[in-house]
Amino acid sequence: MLRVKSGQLDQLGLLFERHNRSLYGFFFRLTTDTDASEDLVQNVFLRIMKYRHTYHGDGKFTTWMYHMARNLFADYYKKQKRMGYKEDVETTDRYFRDDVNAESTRIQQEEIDLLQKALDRLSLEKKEILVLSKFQEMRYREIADLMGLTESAVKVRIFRALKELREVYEKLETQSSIY
Amino acid sequence: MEEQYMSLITDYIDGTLTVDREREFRQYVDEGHIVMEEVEAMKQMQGVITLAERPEPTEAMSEGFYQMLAEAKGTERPDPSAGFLSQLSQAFFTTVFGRMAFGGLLLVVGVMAGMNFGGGSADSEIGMLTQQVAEMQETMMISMLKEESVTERLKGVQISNELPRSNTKVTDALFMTLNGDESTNVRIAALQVLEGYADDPVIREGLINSISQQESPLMQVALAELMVELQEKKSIDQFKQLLESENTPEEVKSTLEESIGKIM
Repeated sequence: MLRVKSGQLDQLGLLFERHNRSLYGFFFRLTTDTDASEDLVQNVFLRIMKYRHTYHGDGKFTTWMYHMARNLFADYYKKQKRMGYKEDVETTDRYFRDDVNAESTRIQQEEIDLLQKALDRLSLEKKEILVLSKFQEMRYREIADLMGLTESAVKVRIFRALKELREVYEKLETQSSIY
Repeated sequence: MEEQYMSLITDYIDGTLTVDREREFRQYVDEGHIVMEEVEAMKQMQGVITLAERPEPTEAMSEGFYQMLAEAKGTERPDPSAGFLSQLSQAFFTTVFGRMAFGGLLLVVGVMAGMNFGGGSADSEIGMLTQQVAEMQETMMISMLKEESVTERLKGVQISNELPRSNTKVTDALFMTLNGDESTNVRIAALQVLEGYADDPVIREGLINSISQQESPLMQVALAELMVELQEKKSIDQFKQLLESENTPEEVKSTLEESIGKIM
């Protein structure tokens, strides 16, 4: 049966409205780069549009979407590495330069920025699983499907990642209170 | 630390341990395999994550996406004849209403064939049949416009395109969709159908009144383009209201001003 292509395209608008913020959050936590994250979100939807005939409704749509998102991020990451992009220091330190804010919001902001800074010190694998589970609130079952792991393997990885994040965060916290 | 403890700790931090697993967890704590201090520190860390603000994209992302979508639609217009057939088959076979309507249609066709062969007056029967089919389509379309799924509602709008023009029930339902549907895509589809009826003064009036009810920039711009095409001077007051509203984005305002200029 022929599908009404324009009908499907209209649906894409709805999918975009539903998922763009969440996808943006995923990319932003991984890249800390607004422009790159917005481009990546755009590319995910471009791919969804291009490959929509390959999605048959089996499995969750979000898993399929994040599968594309991960592939696109992997390409982006490789490219950044080839270009000799220096990780964290430059991008994360700029969060500490903001002294215009009022004291209370500054403290709150610092805590969050410290979190991003700590997150950036983790390996990509650990960072990604934390972003998906704790920031994007994706279910362990879905993460397991996405990564081809068992659910308990996902829990083990989350434990390791959260433990390391805690250690890095604590270290950064001590450092920032000294300066 | 062994992996079985790790998985238990993750569940403990999330608060999702079952009674049995909770017992197991406590036992490992008592035996010293799991150190509560460390677990609590991790739980606190998770708390910090929960408080983190969600990063928000800029408006440019949405704009870029809709531009891409509009371009894709321009290049992927379906073949009209195939479009009609597939629309028809989709309308009939993909929904409960569709299947009901198809069943009804078969029945009517059967009755008509019987009467025809029985020597009844064919012309009046066909007239009745056409009317019945139209009524069925109408009911189906109105029910579909109330569906929760956006796709169903879009299909409902598409069906309305096939219905007789002067039917106020259909146009009323389309106006309800145009002004009240939560999806911009469905509203745009309704607008496209209503555009075709714009010669009718009542419909035209309805379209003009719809301007100030639209909050989406896409809809505001689409209506502005239509009003320019229709050279409808009565729409200017409505556009002025949008221009004065703080909620109207600057880019839309400049497009509206341009449109007003073209109408005047």
